[in-house]
Amino acid sequence: MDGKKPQGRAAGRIKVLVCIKQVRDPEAPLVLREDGSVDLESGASRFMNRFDEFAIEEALGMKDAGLAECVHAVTVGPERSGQAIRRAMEMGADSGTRIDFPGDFSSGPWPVSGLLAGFARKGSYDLILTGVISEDDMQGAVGQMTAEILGIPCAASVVLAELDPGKGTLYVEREIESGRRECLELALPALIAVQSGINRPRYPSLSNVLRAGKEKINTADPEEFGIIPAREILVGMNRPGSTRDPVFLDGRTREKAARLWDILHERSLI
Amino acid sequence: MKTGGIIAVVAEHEDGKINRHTLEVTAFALMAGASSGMRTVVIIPGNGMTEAGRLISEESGADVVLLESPHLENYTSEGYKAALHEFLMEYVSGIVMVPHTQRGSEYAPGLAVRLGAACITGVNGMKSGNGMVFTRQAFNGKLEMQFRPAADFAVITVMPGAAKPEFCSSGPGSVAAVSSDIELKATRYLGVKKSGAEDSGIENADVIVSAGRGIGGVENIGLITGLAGLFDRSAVGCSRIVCDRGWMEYGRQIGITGKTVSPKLYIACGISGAVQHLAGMSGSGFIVAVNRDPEAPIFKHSDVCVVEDLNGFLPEFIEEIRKRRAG
Ligand SMILES: Cc1cc2nc3c(=O)[nH]c(=O)nc-3n(C[C@H](O)[C@H](O)[C@H](O)COP(=O)(O)OP(=O)(O)OC[C@H]3O[C@@H](n4cnc5c(N)ncnc54)[C@H](O)[C@@H]3O)c2cc1C
Repeated sequence: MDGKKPQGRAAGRIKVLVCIKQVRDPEAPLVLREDGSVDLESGASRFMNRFDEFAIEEALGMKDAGLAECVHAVTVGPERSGQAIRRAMEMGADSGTRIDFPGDFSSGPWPVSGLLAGFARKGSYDLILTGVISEDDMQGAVGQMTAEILGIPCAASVVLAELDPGKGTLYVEREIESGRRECLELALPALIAVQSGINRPRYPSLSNVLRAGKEKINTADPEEFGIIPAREILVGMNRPGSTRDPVFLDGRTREKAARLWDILHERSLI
Repeated sequence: MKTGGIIAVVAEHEDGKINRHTLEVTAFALMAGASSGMRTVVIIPGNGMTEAGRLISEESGADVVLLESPHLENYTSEGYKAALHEFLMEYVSGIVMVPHTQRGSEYAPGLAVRLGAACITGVNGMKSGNGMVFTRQAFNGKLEMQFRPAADFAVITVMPGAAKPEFCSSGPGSVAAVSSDIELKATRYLGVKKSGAEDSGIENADVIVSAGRGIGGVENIGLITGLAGLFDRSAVGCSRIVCDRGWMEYGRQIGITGKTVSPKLYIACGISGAVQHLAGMSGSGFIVAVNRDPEAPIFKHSDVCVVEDLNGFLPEFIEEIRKRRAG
């Protein structure tokens, strides 16, 4: 921000970018191969990271309120992740871009943050939103790193955001331990990583579904933005161990219910 | 002139006191230091933290640096990143260990960018030998991954419980104060608000029956309250998603951003076992999990695992309890 005072903007002229990700269904089975690698491509449904739905909704809410001019969605990922962009457009985003990059979970947060920052810089957005964490990698780093590469302020785990275009500021409340909230004012341009519960994400309306179906998803070449190499090397994977001594009940539903009563009864828990 | 490598622990504190999580990270860092030969320093960003600095230097034996500025009195991501960057730039390399909390996980990735560092979040263990390797979990705890930093600096956030806060120090470490002349340019700190959630009394319950997204909808919450009603001193709790969807009130949310509970019996129904949820209930006496996914991570942290659909199992179990009590 170079110590400059925040610049006011006319209400309704704020440009918003939402960074989203397509994730693999966390409930789908995970197959660890003999060689220690894992098969993440086959046999699982995929959807938009649920934390990102809150980010889209927050941006669309600002547009509905006449504060934001446009809402763009961007993702870094292979062709299939275009579906997440499609979904964002069905919810109401004005346009969507997929930066064509494997975005492999082993690549760490640097390459993805670098590409998102490069894209954001070209579009000179006033506000960038991301989900607080992705359900698959669970790194919770890409939003904050994107902001830092751009040199703009950021807040994570945001549960309340109020835009003041005239002042060029964003008031945020971010959730910390035990549900307490830290309150801050950030000068625009800024980035926020939003937490679930900040709003109720809408379902796509029929008119938006029809509109999104006609529009094309832009594809961007990562070389356009320069790829920052990963700074973390994945050296191995395994299944985590147990912290207790789990006993799996077997038999039919009724037998399991009876067995559970016995176990709890033996321990005087029931 | 830059000096050599450093393992830097960034302390987290509230009301002038350093939290237990920081002590765990300090113990973790001292272990890493012992195997790598690097010096460990605990950095306390703040203002007037001298007493807390003395205490941790005595308890852990680590050297302490008080990184002081009026702008560090309250935590802000901008202030922490600027001050820590300024301080760490004096070194040629280092591993910066930050407690993985709501604050730590906010500023650590940005600090990594400033330092051009590797960034590994949610670290729960380490292996040393041929360089340091850090482990973290992904896919909701179904997979553990090992990463090696590939840069001069690494910024890692360390989960609670990665090390016990036990030390065998041979005397207190040094305490030095360094003043930082940072300014906050784009952030205005406006204070901390208490949680708005009403008190549900779940912290005092002996038995908690807890609902996750797997319950499917508000119309099925009756199964949870019905089961809880069959136990004495019981309460119902839930995961965050259940509150976000308005199926239960926020006062019943269990986990890092909700309540921490340790009842004698915890029955997790349709809860996957995300780390943020586990943090609030893993201290329970006896844990029963009901989930239709045999790979659900909650099973790794339970005593009894029931792989079943809730809609089939819960009515059956409620019926079983009634039958046994009647006869
Ligand atoms: C910064 C931060 C803080 C957070 N704080 C908290 C917190 O304090 N508390 C908290 O709980 N979460 C918290 N979360 C969210 C957390 O990461 C998870 O998203 C959340 O705990 C998941 O809730 P869940 O287990 O109910 O849902 P899911 O993860 O979606 O799991 C649902 C489970 O139900 C099972 N299931 C589905 N249908 C059925 C059925 N019919 N019968 C049986 N089983 C079924 C599935 O197999 C699955 O395992 C936080 C996240 C972040 C990023």
